[in-house]
Amino acid sequence: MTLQCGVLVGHMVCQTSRRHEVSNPASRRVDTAGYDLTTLSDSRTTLPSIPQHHDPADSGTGGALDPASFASPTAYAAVLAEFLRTDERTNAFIGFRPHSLEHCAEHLAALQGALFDSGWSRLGWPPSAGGLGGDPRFRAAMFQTLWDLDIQIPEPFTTLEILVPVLMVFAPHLADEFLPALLRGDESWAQAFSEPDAGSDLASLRTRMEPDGDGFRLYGQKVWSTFGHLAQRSVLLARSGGPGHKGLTMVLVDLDQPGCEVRAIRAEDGENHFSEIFLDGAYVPKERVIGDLGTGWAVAMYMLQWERGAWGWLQQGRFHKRLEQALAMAPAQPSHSASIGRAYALMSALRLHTRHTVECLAREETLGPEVSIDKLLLIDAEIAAWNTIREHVGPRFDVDEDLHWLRGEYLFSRAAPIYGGSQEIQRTLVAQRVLGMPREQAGAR
Amino acid sequence: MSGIDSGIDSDMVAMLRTSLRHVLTEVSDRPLAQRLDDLGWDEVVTSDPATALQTMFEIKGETLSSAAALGPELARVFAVHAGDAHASGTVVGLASPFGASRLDGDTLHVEATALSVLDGASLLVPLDSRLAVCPSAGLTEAPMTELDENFGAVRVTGIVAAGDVNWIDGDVWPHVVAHGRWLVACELVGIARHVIATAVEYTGQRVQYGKPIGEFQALQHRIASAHALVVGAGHLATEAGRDGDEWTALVAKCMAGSAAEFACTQAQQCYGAIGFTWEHEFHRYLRRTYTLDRLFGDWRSLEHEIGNRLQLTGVVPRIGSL
Repeated sequence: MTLQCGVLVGHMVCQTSRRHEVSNPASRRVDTAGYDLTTLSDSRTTLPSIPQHHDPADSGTGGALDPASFASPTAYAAVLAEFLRTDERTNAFIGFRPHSLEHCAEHLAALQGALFDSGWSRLGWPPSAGGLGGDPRFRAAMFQTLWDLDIQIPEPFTTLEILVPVLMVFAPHLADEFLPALLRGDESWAQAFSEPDAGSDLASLRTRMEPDGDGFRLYGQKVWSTFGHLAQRSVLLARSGGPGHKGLTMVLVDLDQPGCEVRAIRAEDGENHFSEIFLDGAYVPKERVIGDLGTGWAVAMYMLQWERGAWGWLQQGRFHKRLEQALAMAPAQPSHSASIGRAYALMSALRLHTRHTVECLAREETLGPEVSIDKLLLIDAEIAAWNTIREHVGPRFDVDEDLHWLRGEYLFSRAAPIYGGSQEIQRTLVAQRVLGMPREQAGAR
Repeated sequence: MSGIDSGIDSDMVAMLRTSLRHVLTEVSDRPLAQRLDDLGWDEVVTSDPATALQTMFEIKGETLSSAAALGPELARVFAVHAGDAHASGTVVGLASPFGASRLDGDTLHVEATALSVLDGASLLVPLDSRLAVCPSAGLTEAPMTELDENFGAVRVTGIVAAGDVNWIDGDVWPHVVAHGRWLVACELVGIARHVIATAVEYTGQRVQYGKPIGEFQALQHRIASAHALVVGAGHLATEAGRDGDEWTALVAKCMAGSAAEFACTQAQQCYGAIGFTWEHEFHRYLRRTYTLDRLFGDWRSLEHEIGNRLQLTGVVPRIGSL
């Protein structure tokens, strides 16, 4: 038995289609073709104006939002939608189509700033970490509202949705220190778990963590780290002790330091979704250990309920919006009805199941292997949704320049059965850990 | 967050399941309604109708009970929306596989599927935008036992003079259909859960190559993929009971039908040859799945209907809110 945990790739939301690149081989962060990734611009695309720093007192809501003042997260969402539609700092992002991931990251940081200053993105997070209180359903409602209005969700939101709940339990001092900067968009983080020889078999990872003074030094190589080339820090799983699950430790490491090289990897959609991280003596102070030495596996397992559950809720909001947009792109065709209906039923199942997961998380119930069901439903819904969207829009889906954003999301959807624990891993987990089917006997092969 | 106005907590649901399992499977000459009375069923339904009925129909599916529960529920909902005059003595007629009822001049040609014998009661048949309540005199009943001999469905045919029909206008039929779709979805989910649980049990006992075949990932993956879809179908059925919405019931019935058929397909492969025989109980669950899926539209035609409505409206409803 080897297949116990998934490839924890981390995630992608800000799907785009690459159109324009500027050569700058000297850059530390370069993609596979040697293009600079940090200074892209494209005059053909209309940019939302980037708001300057905004005084919360002017926002009308002014950081005075109180979660108790809303009857439900849905009621909060309705008020938020009105704000997003009318506030000049946010309404420019409705229908915003970035032409690259880097372009997306650059501009959506301004959206994050506006949501933070006005207080909206701080609901659902504890006051100790710069939040305004309320349970995680407020975050789920915000994501739904952003998709419904066709506003791209800034990638740091999705990363912190997975990483910060873990910090709040295993390293609350780090959550308090960094959450405001993450929410504001001042910095972004990347998850670094997988290695070239440790994908599905994550517990076999070999990146070493060696004591050095008051901290540790890292040696090894990580891969499939989502948006690593755009991140300032990484939550990284390394081997601090012996083999297997017990020798692992989770740390927060600064990526911008000697002994740390990041190289972007271009994904199927043409975008630099992931990166490799090469570690040769990068330093981690002991305060940056998440949990205790040797407990990295338990920390990673705790993370899964957010990575698979909360993530699924966020994604279903996107699928509903995209299907609606695709229906408006072509006339009704009876021959498409069955596959549209099939996709919709699966999306609805995903929506209701992940709502259940979000409600459990809001009640602080810890979920176990059953979160693999969230991922299995996500895979079925995502593949069905994008297949029917491409079918319905027709041949121009593949070639129309104006549809680059939709095409990019379609191409990236093919990763659904692979990232964050492959479909096979999830099925094995559900069979053995949820349904209690027998595990392979040791020594049987 | 869940269980709106819920008078039934999870402990009570567990007790209810045990009691219903007994009532729905016991051999008795007394009618179901009387036996439910003994259970205090009316109180349970009053305190939390959605949970009570969902639980009953899930157990009905799990135990393959042929208890006549759906017919009375449809008649009750019909009476709620059509008026007290119809509070008793009406059997709801569903679409017939052999054709549709039609009005030819002054003559109504009846062609319907009833979920029980009429026993003197009148038959309700939807006809265009109206409902026809037909007296039983002149109607012929034939049990439909070809696929599922214990289900109790009856083919009703005959000719009724239009003047003898009690015509009802108004928006009644969609309520009956939505209620029926919800309850059948619950029953299909119950069947699917049972079939999966049985396949897990069987593959844990059946030994080949010196080990339980349940250790093989090929079989584990079949069952796990079915389980995920059945969990999703269960959420939809629950939501349909809570929101009482016609659209949710449509999607729930569609998902439950496809998930149950998928679960049967996967489970049957796990049982191997024995599951293909009458030596094993599986064939009865497969027959009941097919039978229930046909009620109020099978899952393929419902997928088509959902897709049609999404295309015509251009709106993609989000089922369930936070």
